[in-house]
Amino acid sequence: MMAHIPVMLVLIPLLTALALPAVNWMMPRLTQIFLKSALLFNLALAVLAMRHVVTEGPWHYWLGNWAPPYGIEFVVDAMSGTVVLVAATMAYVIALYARSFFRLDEAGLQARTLFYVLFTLMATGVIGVALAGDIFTLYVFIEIASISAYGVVAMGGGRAAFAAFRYLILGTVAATFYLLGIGLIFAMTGTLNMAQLSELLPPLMGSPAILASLCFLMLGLGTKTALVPLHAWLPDAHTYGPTPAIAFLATALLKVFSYAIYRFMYQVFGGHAQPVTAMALQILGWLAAAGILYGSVMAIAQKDFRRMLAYSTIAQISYIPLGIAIGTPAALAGAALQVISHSMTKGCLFMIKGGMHLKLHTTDIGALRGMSAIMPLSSFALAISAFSMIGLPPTSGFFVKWQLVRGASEAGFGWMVGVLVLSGLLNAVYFFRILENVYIRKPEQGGHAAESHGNLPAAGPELPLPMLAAMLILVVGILAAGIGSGWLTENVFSLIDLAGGGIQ
Amino acid sequence: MTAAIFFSYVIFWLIALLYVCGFFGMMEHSHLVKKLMAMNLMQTAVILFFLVLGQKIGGVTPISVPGLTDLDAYVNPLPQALMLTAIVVNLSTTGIALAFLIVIKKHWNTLDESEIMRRMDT
Repeated sequence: MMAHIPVMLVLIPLLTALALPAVNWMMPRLTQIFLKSALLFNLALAVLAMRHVVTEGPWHYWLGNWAPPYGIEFVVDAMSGTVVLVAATMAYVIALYARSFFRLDEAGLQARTLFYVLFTLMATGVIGVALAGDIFTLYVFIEIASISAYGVVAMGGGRAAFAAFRYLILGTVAATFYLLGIGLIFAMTGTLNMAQLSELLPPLMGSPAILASLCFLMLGLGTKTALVPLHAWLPDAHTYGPTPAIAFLATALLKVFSYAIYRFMYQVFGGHAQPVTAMALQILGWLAAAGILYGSVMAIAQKDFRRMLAYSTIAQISYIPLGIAIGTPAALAGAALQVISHSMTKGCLFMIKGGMHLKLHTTDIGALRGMSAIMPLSSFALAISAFSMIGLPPTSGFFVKWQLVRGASEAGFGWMVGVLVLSGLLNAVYFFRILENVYIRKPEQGGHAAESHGNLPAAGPELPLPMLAAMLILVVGILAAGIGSGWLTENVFSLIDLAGGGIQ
Repeated sequence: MTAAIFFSYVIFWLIALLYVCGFFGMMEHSHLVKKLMAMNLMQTAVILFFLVLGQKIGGVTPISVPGLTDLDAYVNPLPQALMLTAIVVNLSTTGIALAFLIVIKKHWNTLDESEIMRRMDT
């Protein structure tokens, strides 16, 4: 069994998703236990796969023992292992959170089993994208993840359905761009395997067809990652979708497309060693920097916590393409750490948002006054996540920025250092405004924040225990990833393969 | 000579035209069903592109003719196999989009994008 871990990482969530309706129909009481134990098992496998990568190096798995280029290849290396581990962790933690959330949510999601099916399929797609070793399998998993994402977003009601429809249209156009890109590569080389492409492509890099395919791939993956200016779908989908779905979408799902950009740039197109790719990476760096500033500025302008989080996602997600564009080992380590850090931080913030929605019936920033008295633990989690977003030590957000700044100055991108520092300041502006409301300002007389408790009993814990547990796991994770970032960089991220395409 | 090269690629120009039609149709129309139809045009154009890549005039199905091992006589089966998957993906996106349209129509009682955008802001 141990030898088949890479394929099991994909098969377990896939089979769980397919079996879930049957389990729910026959033994409704067992549904949750079945789902959670499957996701926990998958998480354990992800840890084992990661350990294998650290001790024995990259793991190439051939489906059915068909060697590439004929067979399908799954690859676990330092970067994909990190993404898989993050996706598996987030899937489990969010499954822990989701049940209590839906039980208390007044808007009431009717088709809960369907939600869990789509959610698990989304996890399948994310893990599959991370592991895929050929570019068409990557497309298939991208679409599995995206289609289930459209579905879960639409479960938030009428507004969400419209947001999901726009997301679907843009996402599908992005997918056709991606497909055109791989069609052109296939026409030029006759293969779809990434390892083989990296050998065949260098002499062809000057040809217009490869240039066009690079553009199409960047457009496609850029739209899916919500890279500015291709982010139009994101804010509405994040605002109206159901909280647990968005907690996964904004964390694991968005990361994996940035990861796909890394795979293409360094392991297919040769990274900075190829003039054409170096140019593409430079453009990627500009767009990412623009995204960081745009997202932060727009986040400051928002009055609603949900929408603020959506714009802050646009900003934070752009750190990963920025690290990829810089292309030094330190910057790549920063990008990989951001995959971990932002997933936990934004996941935690969305969970707190769900808690606010249940307990205070508002996500309006002005109405959060006095929240620390009603929800002390959530407020504490909010403070830690906010520190991580701003980048204060010892949270993981600080070490992300530190690695990126180190990478940018090594590679001679002084202006990127400026962008990173400015972004930290802008993040401080909007997160301190929230913390001020939560901790310092007294609630106004007759303010609704202090009195309504929703469906929750006034006595007892501020939120159901599974929800609090999920948040606290992530808070501990944020601190642990921050304090342990030196160890992670040394032992895991140093194994990230730039395939000779790092900046000189 | 130039004309010959142009006409040997004419099928690709037509596919590109179909793709661009889809793209602009999607941008231009404010009616959601028309947007969806334009999106399908784009998807179909990509499928045709892949199929033409594998096509050969007078090509035969691989393996089926006994004793024929000449590579140039075969139609490349790989693009067709890939597009079988892509067609399934297109089917599911179209299906889920139509389901969204039903929900949107029920909730907003219109399928006009600019109208819904206007109401969403207020």
